Amino acid sequence: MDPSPEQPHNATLAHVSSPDGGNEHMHQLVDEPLTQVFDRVKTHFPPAKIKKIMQTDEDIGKVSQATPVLAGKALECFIALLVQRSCAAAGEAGARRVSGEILRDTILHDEQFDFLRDTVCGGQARDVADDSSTV
Amino acid sequence: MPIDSDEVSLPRATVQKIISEVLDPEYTFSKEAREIITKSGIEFLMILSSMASEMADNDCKKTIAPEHVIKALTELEYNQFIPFLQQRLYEYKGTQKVKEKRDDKFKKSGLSEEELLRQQEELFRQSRSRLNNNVVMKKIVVIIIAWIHNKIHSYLFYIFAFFI
Repeated sequence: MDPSPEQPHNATLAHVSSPDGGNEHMHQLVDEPLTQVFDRVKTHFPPAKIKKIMQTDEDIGKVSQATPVLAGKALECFIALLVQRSCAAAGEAGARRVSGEILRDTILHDEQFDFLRDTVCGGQARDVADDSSTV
Repeated sequence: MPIDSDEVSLPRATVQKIISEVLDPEYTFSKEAREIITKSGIEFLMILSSMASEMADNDCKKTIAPEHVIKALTELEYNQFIPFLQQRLYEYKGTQKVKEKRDDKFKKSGLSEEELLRQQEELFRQSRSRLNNNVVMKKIVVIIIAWIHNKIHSYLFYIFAFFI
């Protein structure tokens, strides 16, 4: 097994759809390859905790021992991704502080986070998403 | 999909640590932003688990295996994470091998756990009695030295000192 993961970084950013010009501009600021960002994460979530959270869903049955370890890693990557994207958005807005509002904005305007829209803000989310897609 | 995410949360310190590791040093993260990250993280974990469970079902497997988590990421269009998961799995399997070696050594000693516990108790007892002997020796030495220097002739004093 190849221990050193190589991934064409530009392809991952291209995946995100940009319905408006603003989105593209935001992503131009993310000039650091995502693989480098993910490599910075040294902290791990305890697998026992991850397993506990997974199993709050009654439909989730047995998990093998390595599964929470991998799910934890995916979570770490996800958080890294969200931090990186919102940080870029803050930079775009000329802010040095990533506020809750910037984070919410990032989630609402990025297709990759569409599953989070309801979590972040109830009914409003759908209206915002509709607005951005009509441009 | 019954989820009660109010019951569980991610360890705050761990989330904060990851944010600090990733964040550009010139930027700061507000408390509210961190809370949104935590909530989003849990939501992601639940979606991933649900999809992984589905992948396991498709495989007719009752237990969710690492490969199902990886397949789930593809389904959810988070392919960019996959190499990092594979790396993590590789490391994890490595540490498991070390553990197995340790366990094998334990089994090879041919002794049951009870016997080993007995041996451990015996060793503790021996070291405790050695400690006691040392303390008594030190007391005797102190008393002798005191006598030599001060020429205290009160025998009551020695008897008292011995029992301190």
